[in-house]
Amino acid sequence: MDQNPIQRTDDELLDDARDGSTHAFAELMRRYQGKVAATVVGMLGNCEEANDVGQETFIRFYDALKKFRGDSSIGTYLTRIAINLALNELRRRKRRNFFFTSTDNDRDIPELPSASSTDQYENKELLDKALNRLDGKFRAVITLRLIEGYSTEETAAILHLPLGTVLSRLKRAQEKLHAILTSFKEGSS
Amino acid sequence: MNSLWYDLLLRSFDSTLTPTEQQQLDHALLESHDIQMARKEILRMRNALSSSAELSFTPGFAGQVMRRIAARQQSAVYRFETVFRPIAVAALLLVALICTYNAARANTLTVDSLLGIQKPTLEQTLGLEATLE
Repeated sequence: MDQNPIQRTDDELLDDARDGSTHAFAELMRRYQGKVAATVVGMLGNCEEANDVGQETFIRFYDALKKFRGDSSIGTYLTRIAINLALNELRRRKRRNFFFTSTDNDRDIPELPSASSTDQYENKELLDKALNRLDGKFRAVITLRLIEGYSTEETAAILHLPLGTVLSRLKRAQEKLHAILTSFKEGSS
Repeated sequence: MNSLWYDLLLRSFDSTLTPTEQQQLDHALLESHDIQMARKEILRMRNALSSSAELSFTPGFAGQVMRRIAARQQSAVYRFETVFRPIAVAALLLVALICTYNAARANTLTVDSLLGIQKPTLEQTLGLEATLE
C-alpha cells in the first residue's frame, strides 16, 4: 500500500492517508506544498508566520481527512483553509500593529528598496512590500486570481463571495497596487 | 486618461465585456496612446504578480508538519477527542434507544417509566418478604 506513493493518484493517496498512512499524507503534502506556499506567502509575505500558517493548513487538512468528501479538489480545499488562516493572521497582525506601532504606512517609505532601477515590477521585494500594504480582502483576491491563477468564478467560490464583489475588489486592488508601486517609484526618483 | 476607460480596461482582464463595450475598448486602444500605455502597465503588473509566486516553504517544512501531527496524536486531549468521543456518542445513542423503547411500552410518560424503573406493588413486597421468611 505504501510502497510507491509517488505513482499513486490523489484519491488513492487520500484513501491510504485516511487509513493512517503517513507516507501517503507526506506525498500529498509534497504535491500541494507549492500551491499552499503561493497562497500563504502571497497573503503574508515571506516570513516566519507564513511557514507557521502553511504548517497549520496541512494539520487542519490532516484532521479533516475523514470528513473530506472530494466535493472540491484537494488544491482548492487546501487553498481555502490557507486563505482563511492567512486572513486570521492578517487580523492578528493588524491588532498588534494597532497597539504597538503606528498605522501610518507611509512612514515605511524611506526604508523601501529603491525602485529607480527602471521597473518597479521587476523588483520582487518591492512588489511584496506593495502587496503587504493592501488590505487583507484585496490581497486575497490578488493572491488567488493573479498569483495563483484561479478564475474569477473559482476565486469567488473559495472566498464564498459573489462574483460581482470579487470583480470589484480585483479592480480596486489593482488600482491600489498600481498607485502604491507608482508612489514607490516617484519616492525613489 | 478618462477613469471610465481605465475601469473598462481593468474589467477586460477579469470578466467578459459586452460586445458594445469590447468594440468601444478596441477602438479606444487603436486611437489612444494613453490607453495603450495603461494596458501595457496593467499587463506588466499582472505578469509580475503571476511570476512572483513563492513555490516552497523553508527546507524541512514537511518534516515539521509530520512531527507536529505525531506530537498531537500523543497528547491526552487528542486521545480524548478521538477515542472517548465516539464511545460517548455511541453510549448516548444506546441510552436514547432504550428510553424510546421504554416510553413506547409504558402507559404513562414519567421519568421512571422512561428509565424502565418499576415500582414494586405491596403484594410483590409481601411476596418477597414471605420468600425471605
